[in-house]
Amino acid sequence: MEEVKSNKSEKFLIINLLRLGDIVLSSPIIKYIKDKHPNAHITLLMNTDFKHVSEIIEGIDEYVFFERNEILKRMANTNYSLVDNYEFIEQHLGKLMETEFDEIINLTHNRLSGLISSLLKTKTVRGLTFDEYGHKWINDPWFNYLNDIASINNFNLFHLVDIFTKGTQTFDVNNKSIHLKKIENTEVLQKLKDSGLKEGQKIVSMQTTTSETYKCWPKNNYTDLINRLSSDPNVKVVLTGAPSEEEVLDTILSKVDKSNNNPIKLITSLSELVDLIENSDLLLTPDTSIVHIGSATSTRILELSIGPSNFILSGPYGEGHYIIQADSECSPCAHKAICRNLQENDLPSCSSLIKPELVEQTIQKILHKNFDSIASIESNTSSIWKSFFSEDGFIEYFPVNKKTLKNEDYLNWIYRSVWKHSLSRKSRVATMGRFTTDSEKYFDRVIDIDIEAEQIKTSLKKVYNINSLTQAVRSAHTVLPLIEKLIELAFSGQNLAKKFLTTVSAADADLEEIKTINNKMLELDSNIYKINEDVEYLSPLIDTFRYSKEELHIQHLFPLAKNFMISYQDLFFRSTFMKDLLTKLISIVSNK
Amino acid sequence: MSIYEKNLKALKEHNPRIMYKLKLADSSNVELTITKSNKVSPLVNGISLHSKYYPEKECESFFEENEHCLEKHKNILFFGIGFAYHLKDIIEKATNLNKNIILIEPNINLFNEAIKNIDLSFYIKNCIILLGERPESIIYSTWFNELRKEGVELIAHGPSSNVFKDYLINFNSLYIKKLRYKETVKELRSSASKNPELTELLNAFDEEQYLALEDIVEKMPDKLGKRDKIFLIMNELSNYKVVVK
Repeated sequence: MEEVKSNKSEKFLIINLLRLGDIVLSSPIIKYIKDKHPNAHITLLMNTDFKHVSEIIEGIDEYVFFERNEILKRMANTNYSLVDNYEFIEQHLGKLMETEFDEIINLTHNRLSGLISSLLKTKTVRGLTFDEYGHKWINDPWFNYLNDIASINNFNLFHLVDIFTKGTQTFDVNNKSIHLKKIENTEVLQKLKDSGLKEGQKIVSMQTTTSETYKCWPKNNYTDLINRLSSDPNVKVVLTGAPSEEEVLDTILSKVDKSNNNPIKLITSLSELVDLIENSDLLLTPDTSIVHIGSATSTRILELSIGPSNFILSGPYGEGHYIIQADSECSPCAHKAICRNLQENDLPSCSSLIKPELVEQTIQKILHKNFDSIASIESNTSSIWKSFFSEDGFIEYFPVNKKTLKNEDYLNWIYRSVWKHSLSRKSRVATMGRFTTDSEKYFDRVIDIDIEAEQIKTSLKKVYNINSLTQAVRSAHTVLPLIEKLIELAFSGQNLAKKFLTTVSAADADLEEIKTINNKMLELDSNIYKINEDVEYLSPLIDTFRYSKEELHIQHLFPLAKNFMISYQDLFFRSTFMKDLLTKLISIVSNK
Repeated sequence: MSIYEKNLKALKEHNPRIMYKLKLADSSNVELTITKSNKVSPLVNGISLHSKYYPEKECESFFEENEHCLEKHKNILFFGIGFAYHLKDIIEKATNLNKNIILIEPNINLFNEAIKNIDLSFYIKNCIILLGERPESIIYSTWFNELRKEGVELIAHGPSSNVFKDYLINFNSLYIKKLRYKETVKELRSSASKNPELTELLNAFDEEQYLALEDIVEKMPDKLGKRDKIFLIMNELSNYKVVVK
C-alpha cells in the first residue's frame, strides 16, 4: 500500500468472516485506507449474522453479506441438487466476481475465506489466498506469524490490531486506536436517569457474558461485586447486554441485595452500547467483542481475563486500560483446551481466583483516578496488568506489581525484537529469494544491538523484580549453545540450498547430485527439529522454519530452490540476531 | 429400585444430555399394548414397532440379518430403538468387538415410554444415544465428521424405518450428499491440477524424475478455475454447522 496520499478511486475489499469483535478490530485498517486514499471505495464482506455491526463501523462504502447459514441450509436440504447449490453460490458471489479490486485484504485466515479471495479479480491479495493450482499462499510474514505463532498463547507477543495493520502495511505509529462511528445522542443517558441514576454518580458499566463459557466470571461473583459497589452511593452499576443475554442479567440481578442504589439493567443496540460506554466512567468486561467496542471510546476498561482469554492478542487496545488475570500456572490456557480443574459451575478454576474484593478495589481506584495506588492492592491469586503503547507504536501490557521471572520467560522480549525486525523488513517481498549473508541487507538497515538490548532490559525491569531477572539472565549461558547450534545448522542449510539452486539451474542438471543434496537437507532439517524436542523455548524459531518448509510447493524446481534458501536464511538471521541480543543482555545485566 | 429409576440413574451417569431431552416428552402418538407373551410393546400412530406375539424373539432374527455388518466399520449406527427387543444380541456382540455404538431414536415420547417399561440400562451404559436430534445436526456435526473418516455402518430397524420413513430418507440423503461433495471435490482436484503421473511423482518424491516435473506441470490440461473453486467452497462449507436461530 502506498505511503503517500492517492486521489485515485481504488477499490478495496476486506474479507472478515469472523465474529463481531474481529470486525471491529479491522477498523484501524479502514481508517488508514480512507486517510491515505480519500477516494477509495471499500467493500466489507462479512457474515450476515453480524449485519448489525454496520451501525457502528465507519468508512465502509459497501457491505456484502455472505449468506453462510442460508447456503448451509440449502446444502442440508435435499430439494436442492448439487448444481442448484453451485449456481446459488455463483450468483451470490457474482457481483464480487465481476468487480476488479485493487487490493483484497483477507483478515479471516481460514480455507473458506482464502478460496473466496482466490475467486475474485484483484492485483494484490494480503493474507491467505490460493493460487491457480489450489496451493495456499500467505503474502506477508506478519500473516505467517498470525497463522504459525499467534494462536499459541504461550508464544504470542503481539496484539491482533498490530498484526493486522503490520500485515496490511497500514500500521500507523501516530494513529493508534480503534475507530467507530461517532454516535449521536441515543437517549441512553436519559434512560439511565429515568432508571435511578443520580447526578454526580459514577457509572460502572458491566458486560457479564461471553460467547464462550470458559471466559466467564461466576455469576455469584458479579452479584457480590454489585453489592459491594452499590453500597457506595457515588457509584451506579449498569448491567448491559444484548436481548439474548437478558436472562443471565436477570439471574444476577435477582440475587443482588435490595437497596436504595439498585443496579440498572440496560438492554441495548450496538450504537446505544457505544453511547453507554462513552458515558460511563468504567467498563468492566470479560474477553468479548465489547472490549474492542470499548477501546474505541474514551472510557477506561477493566478486563477480566479468564480461561483461554489472551489479552496480549486481543485485550483492550489503547493506553491506560487494566486487565486482571489469575496467577495460575496454566493461564491463559490453550484455545478450546479442556480445563483440568473445571468447577461445579462448568467454569475453569482460574475464574474463581479473581476475587470480587480485588475487582472492587481496582474499580474504586480507577474511578478515583488513584492509578498509582493500584499497585498497593494485595492479591495472592491474581495480577493486574496495564496497557501502554511502546515508542515504536506496538501495544504492550505490564503488570502493576513486578513478577518473579520464571524459566526462560525473558526470551519473549528478545523474540519480540526478533519478530518486529524480521517480519517487517521490506526486502523479503522485494527481493524474494535473493541470497545474502549480510545482516544489514537482510534487515534493510543496521540494527544497533546495544540500544535494542537496553530496551529489552528496560521492558524486563518493568515486568520482573530485579533479583529474579538478574539470576535468570545470568543463567542464560545455558541457552546460548543451543542457539549457536541452530545458527550452525541454518548456515549449513543455506549452503545446501544455494548448491541445490545452482544444480537445478544448470543446463545439464545432474539428477544424482540433486538427489544427494535433497537427502542432506532432509537430514539437516531433522537435526534442527531435534533441538525442539529438548527445549520448548526455541519452538517459535524452529516451528516457523518447519511451517515455511512444509508449505513449499513444488511445481517448479527453481522457485522451490529459492524458497528453500529463504527458509534457511530466515532461520539463520533470526537465530543470529537472537544470540547477539542475548549475549549483550547477559553482559549488561552482569555488569550492573 | 424400579425399572424407570434404574434407567434414569444410568442416563444421569452415562447420557445426561438425554435427561434434558426427556423434559420435552409427552404421551402423544405412542400407545402401549400387551403382546401374547405378556410383554409391553409400543404402537406409534397406530403402527406396531414390535411383534404382537413374541417380541423377545426379534433379537435373534435381527442379529442373524445384521451380524455381518459389524465387521466392516468401527462405528455402528443403529436406527430405531423402539422398546429394544431387537437389540440385545447384536449390541452385546458389538460391545465385545469394541465398536462405537450409536443408537438413534427420532421419537422422544417413544423413548420416554421405553425407559418406564423396559430395562435399558445396558444400552445406556454402552452406547451413545441420540434422541430427537435432527438429521442435519447429526450429519453436519464435527463428531460425525470424525466418525465418517473412520467409517460408519448404519443398521436400521425395519418397523422403525417404516414409521419414521421421512426422517430416515432425509438422514440418508444428507449423508450421501455429504459424501458426494467430498467425492466430487476429490475428482475435481485430481482432474484439474494433478494428472495421475504427476500425483505419483509427487507422492514418491522421485528425484530422478524431478526435472520432468516442470514439463508436466506446463502440459496440465486445466488449472483451478472458477468452477473448481466454487466446488471447493461448497466442500469447505459442508464442514460447517447449520446454526438454527
